[in-house]
Amino acid sequence: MSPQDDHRAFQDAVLPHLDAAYTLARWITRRPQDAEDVVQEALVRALKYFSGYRGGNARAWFLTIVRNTSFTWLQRHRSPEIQTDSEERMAERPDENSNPEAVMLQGASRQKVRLAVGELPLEFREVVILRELEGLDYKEIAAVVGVPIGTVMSRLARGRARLQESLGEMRSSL
Amino acid sequence: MSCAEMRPLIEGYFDHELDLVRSLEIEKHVESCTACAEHLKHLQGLNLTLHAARLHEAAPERLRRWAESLGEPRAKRVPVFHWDMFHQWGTLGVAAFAGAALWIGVPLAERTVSERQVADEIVSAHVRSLMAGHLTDVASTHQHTVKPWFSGKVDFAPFVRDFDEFGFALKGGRLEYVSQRPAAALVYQHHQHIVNLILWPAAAARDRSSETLTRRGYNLVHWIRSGMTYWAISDLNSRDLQQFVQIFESQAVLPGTS
Repeated sequence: MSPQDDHRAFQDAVLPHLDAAYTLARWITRRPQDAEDVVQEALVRALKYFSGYRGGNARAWFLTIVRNTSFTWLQRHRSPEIQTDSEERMAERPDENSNPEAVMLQGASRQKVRLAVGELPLEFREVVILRELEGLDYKEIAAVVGVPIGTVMSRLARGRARLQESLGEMRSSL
Repeated sequence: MSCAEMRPLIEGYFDHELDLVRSLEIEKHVESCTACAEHLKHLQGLNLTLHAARLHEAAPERLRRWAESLGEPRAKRVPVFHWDMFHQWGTLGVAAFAGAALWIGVPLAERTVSERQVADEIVSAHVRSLMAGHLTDVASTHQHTVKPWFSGKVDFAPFVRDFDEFGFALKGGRLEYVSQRPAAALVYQHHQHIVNLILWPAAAARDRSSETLTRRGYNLVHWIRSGMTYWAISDLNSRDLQQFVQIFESQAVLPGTS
């Protein structure tokens, strides 16, 4: 393969999934700036390992790298579940003094959903993102996360149940 | 099978993970079991809520550009050869390409590069517009409200018309900044789909018939008519978007054509 072909093949493999990669990193790290750094690092890794990529499911392959890079990044920079992420929470918490109905209309319900997803424990959050947002099937999620399909199913069920719980209050008030 | 045993299968059913036989079993069970039907309804509700909250994030433009240049061998140093062209001409062989390059030459290469960038900018503009509160700067279904709104904001008068009768309802207008100049964005809605039509004066005067392309899952149609560059973009399927373009073109009274 010529360098041009290599480049083209690499671009074809990863570029269609860049938004998915960014979304996944964004929801694992919970911070946009971190997500950008993580995806950059993941892209460099992907390029490095690209010669070993045998074709097939490029999205799952690339998201696996993004997922692993996100975790390495979290370990290096902060402990994932101790971190309270106060910066984002402050920014996303609706003004509690204002009229709740008005807040809803201004799109605060969206913020509440985002907050609820952000508050899910990491192991649930990542499978919920991969399934509900990225539309990966169980087998793909198992490959990306590196756990058996049964574990994917139980984490997904628990993640969803937790979200239902935290959003139930919101829905009933709508 | 009891409901407790059914529960994990309901999720599998919802996620399209079950085979046909199992799926039919679930469908039958749900018909007669309120608790499981409720569970399925909750799963659907959650899915809708998550999508409505638009948790999807578009990668920042800076990151995308960086990603596009990553691993590029020597493209920047050999401006005549752009990889898009290489790809297009690949089947004809390098000799044919070289021959073609003699008479099409550099301008086409440059055109391809810059158009790729513009297409990226159009996609970004479209994605941004779909985020909360960014769709329109002037929200109106009246062409007589939208058109004057642009005066003083852009240095041209865009053709604005509501195509509600054809299924494309005018939602309003927006100011965009594309290719380093202000552009007018007209927003149309077709069923649940938003179409952004972004236009500005073309650099080249010659008309160009419409070309369709797909980028990041969106369909785009690009054409030049009467000195204006047009880009239509939507998540609509390509055929419906082309239909929109045909409607626009057939209805538009453009400077110099009336």
